[in-house]
Amino acid sequence: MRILIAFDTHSYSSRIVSEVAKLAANTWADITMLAVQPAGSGNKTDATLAKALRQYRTDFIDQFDAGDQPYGGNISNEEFVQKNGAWELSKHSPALASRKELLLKIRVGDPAKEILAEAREHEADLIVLGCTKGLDSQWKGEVDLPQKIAKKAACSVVVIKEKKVPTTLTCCLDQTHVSQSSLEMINQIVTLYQAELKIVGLTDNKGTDGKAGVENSIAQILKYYAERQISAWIKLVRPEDLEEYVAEVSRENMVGLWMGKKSLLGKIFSPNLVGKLVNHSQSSVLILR
Amino acid sequence: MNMGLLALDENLASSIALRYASQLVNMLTLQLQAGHVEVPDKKQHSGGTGWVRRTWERGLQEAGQQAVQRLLNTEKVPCPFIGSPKVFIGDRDKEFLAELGSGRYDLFIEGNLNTSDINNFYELISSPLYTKTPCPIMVVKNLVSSDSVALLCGDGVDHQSVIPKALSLLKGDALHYDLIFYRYQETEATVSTNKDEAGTVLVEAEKLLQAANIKPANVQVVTGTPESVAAMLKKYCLVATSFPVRKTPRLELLAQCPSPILLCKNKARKSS
Repeated sequence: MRILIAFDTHSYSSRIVSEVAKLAANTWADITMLAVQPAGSGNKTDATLAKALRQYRTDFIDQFDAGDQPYGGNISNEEFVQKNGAWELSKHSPALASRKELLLKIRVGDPAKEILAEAREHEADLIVLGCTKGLDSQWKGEVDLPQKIAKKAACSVVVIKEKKVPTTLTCCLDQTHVSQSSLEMINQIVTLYQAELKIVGLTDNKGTDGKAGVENSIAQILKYYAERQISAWIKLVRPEDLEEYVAEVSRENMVGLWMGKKSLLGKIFSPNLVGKLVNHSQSSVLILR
Repeated sequence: MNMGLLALDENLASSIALRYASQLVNMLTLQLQAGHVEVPDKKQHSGGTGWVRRTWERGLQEAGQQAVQRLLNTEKVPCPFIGSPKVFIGDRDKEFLAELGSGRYDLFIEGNLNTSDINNFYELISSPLYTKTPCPIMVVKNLVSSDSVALLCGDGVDHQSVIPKALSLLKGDALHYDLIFYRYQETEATVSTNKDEAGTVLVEAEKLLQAANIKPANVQVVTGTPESVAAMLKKYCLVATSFPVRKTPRLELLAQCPSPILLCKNKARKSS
């Protein structure tokens, strides 16, 4: 598993480090910490961004016990190396004995496009990014960046809103086609936040074998979580009510939407609605693919 | 010892009800009988008599037994039943009503999934089974692990009959009780106020609990919309109240409530 964490230099970015570290500790994922500097900044790294990334890495590594350090220890005097038009700083020093990769990377160009390109080129399973809290979720200086990533990424995305720890994860799942990795991702998020899990299924789902099909599929999902000691609430919602329901719960709860290629929710929720959800949600948003 | 009839079908709602019931028997003085109604398809209906009809009925009986056994095998829940599951053939409401009418049961338990459509819940509680039942009914919507019970008063609940009945079913030392008087109001968040706001209702209800040597942990008036108060009720493993008979805010509250609910009869059932 590879997690791509997209950073800038603002407080909503620094805040997500400890949360991603917990996620990394649970999943043993390879990590890419990515920042994007504007084109035309010369043949060198943006000093502020580079410094911020190094600090994020230090903060990330500090979340692990010294004796249990899958990403190696801290070093302070290394430099970014130019590679394929970007700058990278990787920990491959034998002295650090890292078991998992922790790559720092600075790309050049438009932040949204570069984050998506990095996720695509290196087959990230999950993009994590922070953003400002409240009704207009943004990256400072970038218009609608969190929305663009949530809409356009080919992999799962978590948008973590500043200073809002969710107490409930409400997951809308298209029961027939939910992937194992998505179920596991939900498990990780619930564990990460110690949140309650609410599973929302669709009634009259034409994509399944009627009511019995919906119920059998939810039963399987429930069983999956019961085996992991996670109890879940169930709510069935009519497809025509789903958009309104999601808008309502997103005021209080973290919302997870399964938007895989085969998902019926993908037909109900257009990419624009996903962007709107990210924008209007008062809590964090998880887009599963 | 109270006796409960647990309705089992091969579906998610029954799966949840079965798991919940297995929790209950460890907490309460409750014995359970599993029951299932095999509803024949219209095409299946036998017009025959004698051997033909007996063979047809035996086939349906076996199909019902197998359906319940598959559920029990799948769930692997340690829920002790007093005997093998009873399988009835015919209309679900009529058959369960006939069984409950035998007088052996103090409680009927069934699963019902929580939906966004309030009409589904209204149809449920307007059904013959719910309107004619001789005993309280427990509707299990979710599996909740908690030891707190909400005794919900107000909006037409006859607390003088509902609370003693609920306590007789829930007797045991495992549960804690909150007394809640629900009052509808269009407010963003729920507001909890002192019991005096409910006039004499909560004072009388508290006395009923005291008579059973129970001290409620909280006694309060909760004001808000059905949605907001229903969200608050999810911390309870059970919400006990009376059968609502009309579309009132309390009915909407119970429809939205994600926790299992216990419906007891008002004494006169003139209104609710």
